[in-house]
Amino acid sequence: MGIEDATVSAPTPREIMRRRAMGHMGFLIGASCVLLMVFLAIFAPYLTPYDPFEQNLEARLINPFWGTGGSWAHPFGTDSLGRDYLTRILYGARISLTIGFGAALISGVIGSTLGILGGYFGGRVDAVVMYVINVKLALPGILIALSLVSIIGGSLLALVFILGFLFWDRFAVVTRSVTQQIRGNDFVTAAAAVGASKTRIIFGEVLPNLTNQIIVVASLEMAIAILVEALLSFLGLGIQPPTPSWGLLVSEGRNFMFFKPFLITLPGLAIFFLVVAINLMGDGIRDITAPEGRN
Amino acid sequence: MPGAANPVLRVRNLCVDIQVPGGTLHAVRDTSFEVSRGETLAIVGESGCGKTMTALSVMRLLPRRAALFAEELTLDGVSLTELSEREISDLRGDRIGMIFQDPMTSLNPVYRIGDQLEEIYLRHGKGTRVEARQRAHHLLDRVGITNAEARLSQYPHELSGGLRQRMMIAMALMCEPALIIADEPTTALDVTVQAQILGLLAELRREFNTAMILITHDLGVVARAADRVAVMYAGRIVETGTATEVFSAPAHPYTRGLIDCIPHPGKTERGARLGAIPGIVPSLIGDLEGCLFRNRCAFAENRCATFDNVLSPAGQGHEYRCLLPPDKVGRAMVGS
Amino acid sequence: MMVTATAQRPAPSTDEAPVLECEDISRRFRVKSRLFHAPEFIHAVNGVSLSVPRGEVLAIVGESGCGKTTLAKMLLGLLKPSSGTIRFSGAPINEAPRAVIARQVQPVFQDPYSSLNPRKTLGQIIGLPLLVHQIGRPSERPKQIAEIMDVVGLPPYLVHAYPNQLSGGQRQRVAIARALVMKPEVVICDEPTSALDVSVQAQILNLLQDLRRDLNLTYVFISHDLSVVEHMADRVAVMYLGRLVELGETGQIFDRPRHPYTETLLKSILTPDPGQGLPSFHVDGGFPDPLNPPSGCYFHPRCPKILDECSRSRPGLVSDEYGSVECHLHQNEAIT
Repeated sequence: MGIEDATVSAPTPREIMRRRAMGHMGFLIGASCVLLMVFLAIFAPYLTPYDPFEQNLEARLINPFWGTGGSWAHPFGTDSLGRDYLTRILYGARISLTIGFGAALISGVIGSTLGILGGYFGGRVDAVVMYVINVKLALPGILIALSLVSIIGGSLLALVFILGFLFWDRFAVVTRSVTQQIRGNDFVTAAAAVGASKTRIIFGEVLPNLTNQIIVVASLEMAIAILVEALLSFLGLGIQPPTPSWGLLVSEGRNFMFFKPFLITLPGLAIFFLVVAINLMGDGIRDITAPEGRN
Repeated sequence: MPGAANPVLRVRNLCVDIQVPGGTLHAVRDTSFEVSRGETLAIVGESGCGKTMTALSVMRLLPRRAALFAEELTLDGVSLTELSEREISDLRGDRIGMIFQDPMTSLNPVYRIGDQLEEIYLRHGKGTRVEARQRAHHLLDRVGITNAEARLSQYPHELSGGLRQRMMIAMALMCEPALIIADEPTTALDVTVQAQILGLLAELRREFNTAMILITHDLGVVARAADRVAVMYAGRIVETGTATEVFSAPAHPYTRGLIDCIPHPGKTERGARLGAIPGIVPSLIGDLEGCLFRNRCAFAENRCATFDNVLSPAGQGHEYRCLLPPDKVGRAMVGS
Repeated sequence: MMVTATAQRPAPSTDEAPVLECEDISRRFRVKSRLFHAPEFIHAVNGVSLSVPRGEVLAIVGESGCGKTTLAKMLLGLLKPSSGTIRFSGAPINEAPRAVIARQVQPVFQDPYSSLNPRKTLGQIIGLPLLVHQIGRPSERPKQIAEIMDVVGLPPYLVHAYPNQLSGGQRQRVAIARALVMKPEVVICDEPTSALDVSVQAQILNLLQDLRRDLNLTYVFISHDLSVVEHMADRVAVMYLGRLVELGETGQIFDRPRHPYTETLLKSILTPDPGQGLPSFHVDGGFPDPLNPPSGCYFHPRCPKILDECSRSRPGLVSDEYGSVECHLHQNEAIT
């Protein structure tokens, strides 16, 4: 006893990540923007006195406060049916974020499960998983989404599930290859030698080392889901009016594009900012959680 | 034994500093040594002692964050620190040959062996492609790769570890360098292969009269394969001398500690405790005063904290950095 | 050859069933078979028999490809032998559930960086066996963990530390603590110190010796470093291409080796004796292809003492009171 007395001076993994996070500009900007959007989405009813569905045909197509005739009564103006645009955009955040999180969650579960099973067990199980992944990769996701939505209809729940079931490939590929790497480590062999069941090994040894990668992929997939939903809604095949999806707002604003451009630019910018923020945050998480080199 | 009359490489007061989050890491501090033609100098030390950084400094292959200072760093009189990137890259492979630990990551897996050997020759303008091929063939034979003709058209992954390392040696010799730097050349190999490779290196060094720097952590390799030894600790050379001197009469407590650590069949009593050096290497970041070994040294005194790390003589060509007289540490078990 | 000094080590007990026994075990792996061809197999382990009494340190030596890692995995119960039986204290483990085997035999691996889960604290890592086997009440487990940490020399406050905060030596201590927390009878040490610095290696080897004595453990010690083997082991088993070619007491093996491969291995040990130079080897064909082993005795293409029958027939195992050897040279003799 006593030889290894040196006090621990190296920081814990959590401290390392925290230190990196605080210094990472991209992550801080992205994460704070995402958090802001989440806050706005959750508290939308308290932040605006208007109802997003309430029409006021007297007050149609009023400019935002920076345009002629605009005022702070309708900071972002009104649309063709007199509905307050700021309110529509705030409630639209709910749609985008719900679909983003929901689809990422579902595709994360599907893809990670397949990837972990294939990566851990190898052999025939992996052959089957690879086959499924290859089939999925060969399918044109967006086209299938389009067809499914036209059959099932464009409710929020349907979209979350359709997108969740169609965009899990990256999860599967990443988790599969990382699981293979993790499996090559001696601590997995040691756990098996200790007598741990496969379930315990997968959840206790493999999964904790995967979570960072999964989060990074999840942020990417969230951004993609949001964009695809916007696309579908724009085409009229996603969220149906009068629910204020941002894609739908852009579509509704098309007719007035040339003399009331704010109808398109504002929801367009909203989509843009949210997706950029998510991507920045995801990149940041990847950098922050990158493994430490050996001393 | 080749004398110091003809030094190929002279290094004086080499320092390597790396900027890290906590400050400046002094990876190599005031390191000086020389290597002559036909001589093998082993630089031995444990991880973090600075030996690899020293080798990379000579080849000017340090990572970008590292800064190099040296009072002198000359190869056959040419100052290596004053050369441009282009000029130093002309030297590498031509005047300085390099052999690394893992041949698989040092060789390009998508090119055939013959092509890689020839490329070095041609890149340094040594002759025609025909001459390059002839020399490659000749060297593969010389390093003991049978069936050289067929091997020239193979890819690195088709060879075993030992053969790949032989190929690395052939590559290092293509342009008849004045100096070969071998960084842990046999660590990843099986013991029988290791002995063969070391024997081969010794033979070739004699035949081509190159100088060789052998970097390793293995004291057995050092004792058997080296003419002179430099023991590095915490970025500094703490003892230097001929292999015989250093092993039979180590002057520095760290050297003595290292020698006591390894089981020596026939000398260490089987089942007895091995000598151990307590503690760990101190941090090399920031201002460093005194002898950095004092916290682990059995002979430490108060004045070690302000020791200015000068070299003291311990015998013919044998120097060390310690306040203690050279024989305080006692004669090692080796050679008794 | 070398005169070995024996130490005061308690003699392994011989009055009970051997704690570990292997009876003619083999393990083969199917190699990717091509269409229309019969499947090909590699016999990673081929008919190995061992008997280890309690308290012994049995070393397994051999170069890469000899099958020692596969053998270790079979002893740990991670791989089932293709044929043959493994017994712990007389009870066969072929059909035993993993949990039962795990309580009797535990590993210590080579790489201290990959053997600990970077996302778990030391307490969680060392406590895993207790959790899996539901040993003791949950409230008692921290105490058990603290006890074993004390035994291996880790300060108690490290229980909340993560592996990345520790040195290589400390990590290896954690691996040892994890192996011992369930008080197994046998510990399989697979190159436990090869990835450590020399000074740390000595500490860990000393620790392993102390633990063996204090806890009456039995070690299967796999190593490529013959100096360490000579120091630690009571008996040595030499493997070549899946077969056990020689087995005997350490003194016997190092002083009077019988198998030419053992001699070759011993010749390649580089002891820290300067001036003794490097062993000379004739350049040989290298390690044979495990898919296509040589006929007769596997070692015959490289054997310096080859006889006529060596290429024709595989030698049988000859056992006497000193051990066993598989070589035509010793087919009909008993050593004095």
